[in-house]
Amino acid sequence: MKAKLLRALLLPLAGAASAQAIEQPREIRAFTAEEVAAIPMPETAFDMRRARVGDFEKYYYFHREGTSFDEAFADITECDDLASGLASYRGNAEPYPGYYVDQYGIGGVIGGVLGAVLADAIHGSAARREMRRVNMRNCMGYKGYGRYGIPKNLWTEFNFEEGGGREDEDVRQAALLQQAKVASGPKPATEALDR
Amino acid sequence: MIRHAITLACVAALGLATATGASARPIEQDEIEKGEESIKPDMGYIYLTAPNRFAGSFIRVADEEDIAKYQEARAAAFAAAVEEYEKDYARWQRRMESQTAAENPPEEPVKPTEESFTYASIEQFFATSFGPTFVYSKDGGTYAYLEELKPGTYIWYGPVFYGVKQGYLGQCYCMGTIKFEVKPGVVTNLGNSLFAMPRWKEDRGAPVPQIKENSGLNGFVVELPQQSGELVYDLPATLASQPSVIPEFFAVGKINNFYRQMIARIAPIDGVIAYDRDQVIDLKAAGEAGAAGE
Repeated sequence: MKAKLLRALLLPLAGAASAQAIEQPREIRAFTAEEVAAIPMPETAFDMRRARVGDFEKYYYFHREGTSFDEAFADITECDDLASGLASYRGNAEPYPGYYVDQYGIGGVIGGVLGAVLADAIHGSAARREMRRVNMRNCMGYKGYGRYGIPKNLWTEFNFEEGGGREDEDVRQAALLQQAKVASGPKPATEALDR
Repeated sequence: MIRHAITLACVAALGLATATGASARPIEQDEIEKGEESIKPDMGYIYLTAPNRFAGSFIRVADEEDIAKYQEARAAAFAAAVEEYEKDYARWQRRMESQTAAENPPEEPVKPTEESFTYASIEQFFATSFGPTFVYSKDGGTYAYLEELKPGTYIWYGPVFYGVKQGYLGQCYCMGTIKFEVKPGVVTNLGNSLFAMPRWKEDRGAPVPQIKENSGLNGFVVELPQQSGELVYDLPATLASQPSVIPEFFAVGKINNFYRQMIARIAPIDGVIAYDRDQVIDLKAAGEAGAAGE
């Protein structure tokens, strides 16, 4: 699997000549067309008249027009790392740009665990699941993705919930790949929900 | 690998409570009035007000000495983890020697290595939280907090804080925030700027579940005041005669969610921080920002 660094661009903003994007490169995967084609596209179509709209606060997926699969996967994994308390910004992390690279190389901290994992037992499973929902909504929302409601039975086919423990890595990975496929796929037929 | 690292991180986190490089010390108004506390020339002070009980964390940007201190603490924790492993391994060997075929063999301990050992992150080491208790004053319907800490550049990490018996809770501004300088011998007066400066209505996030700190009789719900409006920097009489400064703010990029809590970002602030989607835009010249931030 090839990897490349996604680098931020300097943004010349109108009326703010000195404005500058803060660079925070992340290592992202570059997928071949064959690899993307091999990822099953989840079913997202459903009859809105029979759907429990109240469940959309819990069950939703993301989509952004004009987004490649590589971009979508990079965005979803960044948000997943952040939500999980992993070292997402290793190469150029605030507040010590360069620290992780200097100490551990570009791969960053092995395992990358940063979060106060002891808190799992304190916060409880339901609170953890709710936190993850808030985190994915905020992170993907900031990235400009629309949020679309979906019935639970369809949602569970390509998503996972994490309460007290971390889901198996192969299950997580398969789900994140499918989420990226949806996020970069055809425009949803339903209206986007609030961020 | 990640599960293994999480286990080791648990071990490391246990020692963190007593091994951080940035502890803020709250000061209350009556302590100033009684002369028990004063503004010391070599210490920094952050003063802020909120419309309700509030809590949050600041991260000090470490200098070389700080980083050396962190690395020393990490090395000590690693040595302790290795020592613990050796005891566990000896115990495991003894059990294996007396093992019968009918018993399930005990799990062999995994030796920590520099690569697999995950100590508290450097950001976490230099983070410090305040509130919602230890209020400086409650005059005029607002809650004020005064924290004594080491001078330096501080990042506003957001309303995420340490609750006794709860661990960390709240919301970090991991996806964009601000920093400012805390000078020695001076009260750095944030006033209500953390809530009043950002243009929250333009950048609402997902609804936030209630954040409740469990100390006291009934605990305290920590509101997240997002009230863009007039900036108020009034100081109480007990601090008005002290040297004080309203700091200049600078944009800060994304930060890891090292407390594994809810993530958000501070809303855009005129002349300081903006966003292009999730890209943080520093609205001050790079040279100017670097002067205060590095």
